[in-house]
Amino acid sequence: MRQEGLDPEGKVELAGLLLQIGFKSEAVTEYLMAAEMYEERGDKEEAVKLYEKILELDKDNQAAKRGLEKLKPRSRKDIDEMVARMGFGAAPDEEPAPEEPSTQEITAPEESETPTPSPPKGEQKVQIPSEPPEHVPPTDISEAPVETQPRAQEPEPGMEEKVAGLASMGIEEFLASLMPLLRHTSEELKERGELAAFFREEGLWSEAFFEERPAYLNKPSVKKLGELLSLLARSDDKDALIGFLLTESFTEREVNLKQEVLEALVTAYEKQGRLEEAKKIREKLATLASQAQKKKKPGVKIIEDVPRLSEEDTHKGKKRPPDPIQFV
Amino acid sequence: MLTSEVRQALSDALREDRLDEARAVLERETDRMPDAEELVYFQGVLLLAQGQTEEGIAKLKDALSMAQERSNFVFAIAAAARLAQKDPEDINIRLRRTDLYLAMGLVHAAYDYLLREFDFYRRRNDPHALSSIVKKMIDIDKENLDLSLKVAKILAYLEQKDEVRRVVENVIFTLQGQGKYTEAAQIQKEYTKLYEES
Repeated sequence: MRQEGLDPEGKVELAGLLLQIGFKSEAVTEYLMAAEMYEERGDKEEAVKLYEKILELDKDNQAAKRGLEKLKPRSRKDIDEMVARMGFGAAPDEEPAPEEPSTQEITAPEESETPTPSPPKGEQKVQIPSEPPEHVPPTDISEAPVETQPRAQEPEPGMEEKVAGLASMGIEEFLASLMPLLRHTSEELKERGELAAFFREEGLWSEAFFEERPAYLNKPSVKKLGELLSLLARSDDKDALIGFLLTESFTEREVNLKQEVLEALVTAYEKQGRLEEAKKIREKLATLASQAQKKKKPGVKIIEDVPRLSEEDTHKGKKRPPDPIQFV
Repeated sequence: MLTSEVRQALSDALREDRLDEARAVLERETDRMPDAEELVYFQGVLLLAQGQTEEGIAKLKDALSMAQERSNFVFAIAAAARLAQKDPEDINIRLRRTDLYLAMGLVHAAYDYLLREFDFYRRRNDPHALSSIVKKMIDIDKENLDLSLKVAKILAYLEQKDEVRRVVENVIFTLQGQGKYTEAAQIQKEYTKLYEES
């Protein structure tokens, strides 16, 4: 889940915490987004540092490589390595890449900052596939299930490396680009709420959580958070609970909501015996509480330009204006 | 169709592990409506609760098909969810739930679900399942060419070259059909590298 509301510093902090608890691919995602934000700010140095850190964690991360390509002078060797990593083979009749080729040649058009120059007019003829692509029938409820896929096999010796490879595959950009696909309409939220209610009745707590989460993300509140946490507690899905709370803990939320999230996270960590993580969250909670306290520090505020009513106005029953001296 | 009272009674009894009570209600209602998909669903849930896993799964599969055919999507999704819980590796059942969301007009829920599943199978290191999921994403909206091209890259990563070819050629063909020859040429130049042998 992307945390769009965080600034790059927050994302770096989140990534550090994620790394500590072993969520490497999630940490990489946060670092990547922070690097892109630094890049947008024009802070190339910070962006480069983060891209390099990502590559320390995931040497095959395409997005980080591409980020570095944009920000650092490149050698031909680097480009060849990147192209190889991305699974691109040289086209049979392709000219060798120039010494300093544009990144456009190895990125999709939608990701390029500037369009790739069109080929000369005479060369614009496209080799039409010999026949129209195989028609894929539209998704239809009456259709048979999707084609049978081979079952995943039990992990074999030496499989860890491959597991790590897939778990940290460079899909951050891909997933981030899909976020607009998740914006629910009010009608959809309503229907998902009905599904959630049904799942509650059925005792399918994880499923109820999944169906209710969009409503919370659409309009976060302490009440909705409590409902979600109650579902997760019943489901006993500890990974989902920690993942959700950790994500929420680094999302911009109102102070009282953030406090609820952090307190729940402390409890969750303590229940799992992860006392170090719980301690860190407690510290964060204390910082948040002290910040909130500062904001609430009592004092006197003089409100200027308050319209004054004459006694006559008051007698006529008009509402009194606010007192210009207010205790806050 | 079960009355809401009967449905509630069955749900409560099964959730609270009052299996004898659930069985009695099911027997009574089955005599009345032998072909109700909702009853087949609850029979499946009861069998699972009794530890008769194989029979329970079979019943739930029947319930899923019946509910899907009769557009009773809530029960179909519930059956799919229970089946996925019992057999997490069954990608066919899991992807079928996407179709149910789409049939309900919940396109965003379908994408939301596929991303949840993508993460599930990524952690399980199952490239075949991942490939099926990204193909399913394309199937939701074939006119979303940007999405298709992004998915093509993921498929290339998963070494599904035939699928990459199919996706990229579809994009090129679509663009040509729209008279966007320059763009099609550009796509061809850049993306055929994903599936052609070097």
